[in-house]
Amino acid sequence: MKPEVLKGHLDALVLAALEVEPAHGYAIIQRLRRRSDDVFRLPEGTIYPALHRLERDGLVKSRWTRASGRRRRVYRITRSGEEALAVRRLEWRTFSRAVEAVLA
Amino acid sequence: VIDRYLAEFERELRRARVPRSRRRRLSSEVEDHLRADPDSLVRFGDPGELARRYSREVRSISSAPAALLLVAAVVYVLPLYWIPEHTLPPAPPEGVGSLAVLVDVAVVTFASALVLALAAVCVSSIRLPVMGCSALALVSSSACALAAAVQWPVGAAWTLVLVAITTTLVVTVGLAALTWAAIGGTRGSGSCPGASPERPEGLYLG
Repeated sequence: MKPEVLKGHLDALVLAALEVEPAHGYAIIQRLRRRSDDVFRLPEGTIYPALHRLERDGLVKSRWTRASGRRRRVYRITRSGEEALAVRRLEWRTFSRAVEAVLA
Repeated sequence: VIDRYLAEFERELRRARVPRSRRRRLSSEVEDHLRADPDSLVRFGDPGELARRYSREVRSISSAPAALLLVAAVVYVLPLYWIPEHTLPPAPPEGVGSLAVLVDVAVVTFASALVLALAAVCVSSIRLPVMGCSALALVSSSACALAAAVQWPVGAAWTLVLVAITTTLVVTVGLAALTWAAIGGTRGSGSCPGASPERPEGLYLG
């Protein structure tokens, strides 16, 4: 499977990871890796620009927290983010059904 | 190695003209990540590339306040149209036709600049071109005011000339700064101490 297949789905995957509970960048990467059975491995250099873009678009919000003596930027999904995720889910299901119908 | 990477990343962010507050935040996030998982250094990649990617994001983020500043600049110019209107003597009868045209054009282009600046605040997808049109309209307005001032009676025109020149300078310098802030820089490269393009097996995104 080529990585290009998943390009364009990064935002939806990050939003889905944040849907469970707020998290910082490192935790989001770990969460996606775990939930995909170690298939999705986001390069660290990709996640932060994506998070900033999502924040710019109002789909996530962030704030500093302190854990184990370190400051961490924790992101949470907004209502707009949840709505955007619902739309992306619907699009993905339609798309995957269509691909399945053609390839099967 | 982490400290060297962070120092290099900070330098690259500065070269990419990422604003200081944003730079601090990004550096803190990356540092926290690296301290939590030092092995992730190899996956962060080249700091120059990372900084340029951030810069592209920050550029679009910073365009919104730039548009607001443009509105403020346009509103600032507004009283400068009121001053000559209430301080200058009546226009000379022999040139009143061309003066009226110039003043009308100045007012219309000023109104266009205001409308476009407000539109730039509301519509993010075409913000930069709209801001450019607004700036152009504002400078055109100022140029018309200057042309009108030149034809005004000697001895009174200095007020209008002063206003027009001040307006032009303020607007031009201000907008140049805004454009610079909005566009930002994408320069920057360099080697990454400790980072390697090699990645372990897996499906990578982005």
